[in-house]
Amino acid sequence: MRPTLRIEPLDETHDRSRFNCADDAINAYLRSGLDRDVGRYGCVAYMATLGDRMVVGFDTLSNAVVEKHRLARATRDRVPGYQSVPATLLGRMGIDRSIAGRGYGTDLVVDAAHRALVAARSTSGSSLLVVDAKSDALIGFYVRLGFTSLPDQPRRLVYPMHKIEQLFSRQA
Amino acid sequence: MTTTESHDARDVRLEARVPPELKTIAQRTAARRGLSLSSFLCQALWNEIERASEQHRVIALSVADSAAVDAVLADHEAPNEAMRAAVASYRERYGH
Repeated sequence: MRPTLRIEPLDETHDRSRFNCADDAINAYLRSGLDRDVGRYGCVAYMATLGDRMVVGFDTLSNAVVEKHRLARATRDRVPGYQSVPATLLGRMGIDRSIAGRGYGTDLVVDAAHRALVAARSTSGSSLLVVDAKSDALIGFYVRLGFTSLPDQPRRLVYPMHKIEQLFSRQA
Repeated sequence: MTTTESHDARDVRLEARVPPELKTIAQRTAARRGLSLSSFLCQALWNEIERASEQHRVIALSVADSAAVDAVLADHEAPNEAMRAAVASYRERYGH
């Protein structure tokens, strides 16, 4: 069985300097853009490590609002009182090339979904987990897990919180 | 709280010609925030990149997107096999 990641909130002991995933924009963000967002409480970042403090994966979660189009009211009554749907955004995520293709990306998504659920139940409501796939190739990765790609912005995918609850209340 | 002061060997120089007053103002503002000019400019660049990349916290939906989201919220089918397997494997190894 592959080694288990240690996934924990970003702190100053994490070494992000050598992180290298397939997406250069994500690499740049981890090294120099993330601190600004974390520093103003714009998102919460979790780092994944294996044994040492070298970051081999990370993801960010933040609160978001999904604004439904006014003309799409026909089915609105299924979410009572809301035209805005409270959501949790899995905004950025990356897995280092050295451990890519071994299922660690799935571990990070499931861990983020679990954290989103804990926050939705205890801290601030959220009906949806939203992810932004950084490439078309990643859309399929999320669709296989049951995420729904939005028809007019296919790189944005959603998964309902009630199913996450179901997944984690299930006896393993 | 962590800061962007952690430079490493891979950092590169980015040159730009600016009016001297702008540099003075930038240095003063950076100093007020306790940042080096490099860190300050780095953050300012990220602000603009963020704005350009539409990484917004407000997610506006079209009519079709809205219908898709409604369907997802009303979907009470069990999670699919791939997700159930992913969560089972996660729970076994990570213990949640």
